[in-house]
Amino acid sequence: MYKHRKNIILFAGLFIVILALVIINILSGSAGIGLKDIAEILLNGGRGSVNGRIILDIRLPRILEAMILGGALALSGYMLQTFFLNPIAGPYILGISSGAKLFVAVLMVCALKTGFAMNSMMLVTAAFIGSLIATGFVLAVSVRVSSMSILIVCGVMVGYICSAITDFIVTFADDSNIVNLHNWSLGTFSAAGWNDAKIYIPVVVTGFLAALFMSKTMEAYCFGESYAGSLGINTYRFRMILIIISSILSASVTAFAGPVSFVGIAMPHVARNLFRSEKPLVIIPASFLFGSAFCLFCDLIARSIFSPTELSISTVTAVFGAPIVISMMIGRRNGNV
Amino acid sequence: MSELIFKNVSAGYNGNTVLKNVNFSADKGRITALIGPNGAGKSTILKTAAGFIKPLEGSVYIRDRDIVSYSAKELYGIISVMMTDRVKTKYTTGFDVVRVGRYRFTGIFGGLSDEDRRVIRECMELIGVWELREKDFSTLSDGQKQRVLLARAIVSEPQILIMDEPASFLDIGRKIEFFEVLTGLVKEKNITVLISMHEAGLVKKTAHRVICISSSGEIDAMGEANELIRPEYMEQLFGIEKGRFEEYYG
Repeated sequence: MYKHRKNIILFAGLFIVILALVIINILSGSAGIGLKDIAEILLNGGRGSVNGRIILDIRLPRILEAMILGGALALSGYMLQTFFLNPIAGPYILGISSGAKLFVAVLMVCALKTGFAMNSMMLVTAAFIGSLIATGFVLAVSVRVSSMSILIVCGVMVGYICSAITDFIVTFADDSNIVNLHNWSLGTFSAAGWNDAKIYIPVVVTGFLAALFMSKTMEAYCFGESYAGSLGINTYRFRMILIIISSILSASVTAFAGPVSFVGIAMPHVARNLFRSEKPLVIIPASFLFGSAFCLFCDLIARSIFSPTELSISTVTAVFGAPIVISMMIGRRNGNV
Repeated sequence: MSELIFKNVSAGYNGNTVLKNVNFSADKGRITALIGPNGAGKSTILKTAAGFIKPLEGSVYIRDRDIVSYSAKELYGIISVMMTDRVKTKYTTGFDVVRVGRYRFTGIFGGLSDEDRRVIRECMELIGVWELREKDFSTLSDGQKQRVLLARAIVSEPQILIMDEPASFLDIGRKIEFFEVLTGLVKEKNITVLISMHEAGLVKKTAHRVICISSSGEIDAMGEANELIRPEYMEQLFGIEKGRFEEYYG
């Protein structure tokens, strides 16, 4: 019972932090808009004024995107970690995000060259195919090597190869849109719009609910594949569903915000350590919320620290996320799994 | 009454036969121990009995029904398995570990009913690990861990318990403790136990029946522990020089 109360307090704390970050994000930006004006815009809807459009069509969709996609990324990482039964795994570090990036870049360049209209659904589909191919490669390697560190090195290499090809494509696609394409390929929430939200919200909500419904099996699976089998779980089918949902989640992030580093690997770790729990039913929502808060925080820094110049989101997430991953690895070396 | 029967079973991995033409049965309320040199195929017998691998030839009968005719749900409602994989967790309590054993009874999100809680408590008390319920599993000693895992194996209320060398890395004191608990458990619950073990001296005291597997993957002998666990036979089974077993174990 004591544990339940502790979890409720922690979740409440997380919500407060996210709320605070949302407010700071609405307030900050190159156009200084006061709290009073913002309240009025939000209450009365004020697309008529410039400030109204800045708040409603630029800042709010961007906040929503950072929140939802950040959470999706952390959840995707958590599911990958469950899949490999190893906390050092994530869609970015295993090259899965880069596979998605490559396919989206190809689609974008084709669309620019031939002039056909591209929609959000096509972006997500391309990203999903790319991430499945990269995942397939990682799985093919994982049946040959048992060491997670070799697997991660392979993932990083795949990431480099995909990024190199993406850079190549982007460099030769001469068009005025190239600036956007270039920014996107480094990772950014700056292109967020309401139309994209219509696609990623249902996708992420479905993925989140699916993860919750799998939480009981995930918990059993964490005690080992053969043990899960001895509980009557079809482990092959379970692992397939797990990796597909994880790929859909990370693909939807890459489709709209480009590759975002370190959220997927680091946030589940933070969630486990703060909640001092490994129960999927707790860690799934906790990872999601940590991912949301972390991306809101990093996006705030990315767009305001050198304003009006924006940093790519991955630059900022790496600065905060990489040390967490390093400390995780040292912790594991010392025997604290 | 035989709960588990091996009939002319050959088994192995990737087409390689490890076990050849194995016939034996395990009875209700008794502990049947598999002994033999490493690599003889004790684990293969256990995996076949647990339904993890299919026999290449012959059949395994669980309660007079061919094992391949069971669905996973049905089979693991009868069988519970305690294999050697180590549990790697950090923030999982003893209670959490045992709770997972109730998998087939719990709700869609793993919620526990009053009945689930009652059985978990009863089993943990029977094994003497109820006081470890709030301790982090990773901080327990090896002996405590194995007993918690034993509790996890019986909360599913199995008829047949299959165990692969559950005490092999425990010190001698913890080994004795573990097998005492197991013997008490079998008496109390009247279940069938098929277990592989290494400890010749403890086999005598623990097992009702011993099945000896030779290094060629065949059954070399079976019968009462007191008849089989003799120095001359042990020397032959494990390939020890004459007189050596007595010298070290006598």
